[in-house]
Amino acid sequence: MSEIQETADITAPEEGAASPSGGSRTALVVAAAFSLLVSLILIYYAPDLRKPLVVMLKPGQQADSSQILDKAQQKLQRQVQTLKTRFERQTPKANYIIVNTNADSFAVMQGTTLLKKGVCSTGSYIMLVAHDQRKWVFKTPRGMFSIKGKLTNPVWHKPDWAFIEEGLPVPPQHSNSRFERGVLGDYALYLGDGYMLHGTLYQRFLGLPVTHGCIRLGDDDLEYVYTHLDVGSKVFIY
Amino acid sequence: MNAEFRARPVLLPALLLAMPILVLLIFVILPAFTFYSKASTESGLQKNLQLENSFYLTQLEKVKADSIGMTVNLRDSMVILDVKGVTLRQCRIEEYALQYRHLTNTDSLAADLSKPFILQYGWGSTAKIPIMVKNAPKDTAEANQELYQPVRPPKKDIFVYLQFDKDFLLYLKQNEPVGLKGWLNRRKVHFRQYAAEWQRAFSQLITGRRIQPGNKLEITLSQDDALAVYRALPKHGQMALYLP
Repeated sequence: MSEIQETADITAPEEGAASPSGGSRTALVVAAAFSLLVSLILIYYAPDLRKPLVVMLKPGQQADSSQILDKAQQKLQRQVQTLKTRFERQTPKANYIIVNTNADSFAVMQGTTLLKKGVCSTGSYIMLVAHDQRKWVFKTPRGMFSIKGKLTNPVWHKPDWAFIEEGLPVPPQHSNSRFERGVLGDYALYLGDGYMLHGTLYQRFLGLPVTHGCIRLGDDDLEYVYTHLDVGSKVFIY
Repeated sequence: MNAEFRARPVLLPALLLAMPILVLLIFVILPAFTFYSKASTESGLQKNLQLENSFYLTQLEKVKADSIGMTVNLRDSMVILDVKGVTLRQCRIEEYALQYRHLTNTDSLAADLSKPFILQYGWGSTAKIPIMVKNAPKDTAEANQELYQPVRPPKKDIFVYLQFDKDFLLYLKQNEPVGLKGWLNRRKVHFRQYAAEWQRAFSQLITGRRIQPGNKLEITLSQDDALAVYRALPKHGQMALYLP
């Protein structure tokens, strides 16, 4: 009995303090049930409740969100503008020439403005095979080049293939027979690796792919190109 | 000890009362906010800006190279050949059809398009470099006999496949109608593509990867434009893609 009393003594204060009385316990159970019921109803109707909330939020929330969004967009817009400006700055301010090897035509440009266009001749795509099995492909290289030098009354130093093509014996490198005057027209603009923009005796072939890789221009066009392009001017060939 | 005992009856009803509020917060209010902000950030303007940003990032990456590159601008229906930001040729796109994996995910798409596509290889109905072989004459007499009459090479039908990295395939085709020979040429070019697709699918199958189609863009250009693009683009040429 004393043990029971002891246990009762120990548990009694806990029961009295932690657990409510019979009435309050019922109220608690009812509240729990009610709370659970409300929660379940809320979960069930959550999608429907969200819709008016989104609509309700819009005027105030839209202002906040759009402000944040505007800031992000403005930042992105500024970034795009900076990139665009950087990209547009790439276009050369100085004059340059574009050569189209598919149509054998050219265009002299300043920035994005067309200054002059006309016909030219580019590589014939002929592969010459010599008797000693040496080979040359007469094609105009594509890509970006720049004018390395400008010449008036240029003299052509004929390479080996020029003799082989004509069925002639190939002379030594510094032989006088290798130098030919007048065949390159009045001017020549040197691009490097033996390639040039120059004139031609065969004006009737302009607009056709007949050269050994150089770009041939008509006399007037050549003079225009010579006067409008400087050493360092860009030459774009495609 | 007493305070703890007194707190319990307050805590339990408070928790019970808080439960519907928590439910309201978790299931209604927060999703509503999230939905709104998500819907707002994925606006058309934002997407456009992201794509434009990617496009200029790619263009600036491209200008670092000295070789000819290409810009496919589907927004303005243009294919542009360019070097160092200089436009060499502008070609009008007559029609196009695009199949791209990340089209619905702007972030992935923008990330994908912010670097140039690099050309791996290509094939077409005509030679990229139309070389004609000529044997050297034995002497001047033989050279004089070869009366060379230069003519522009006859036009050929253009159907070209260009395989880029990032699993991107570009198909260029001419707008002009073709005859029987052109039709056969086109079939031949397609056949190689079918074979490549089957090979790809098979390799995906045997390596246990999910079989999925690659990214593909089909563009219709004029014959001259298609030829110019095909011939101008060098090996490892770069391409920028600007989506509408």
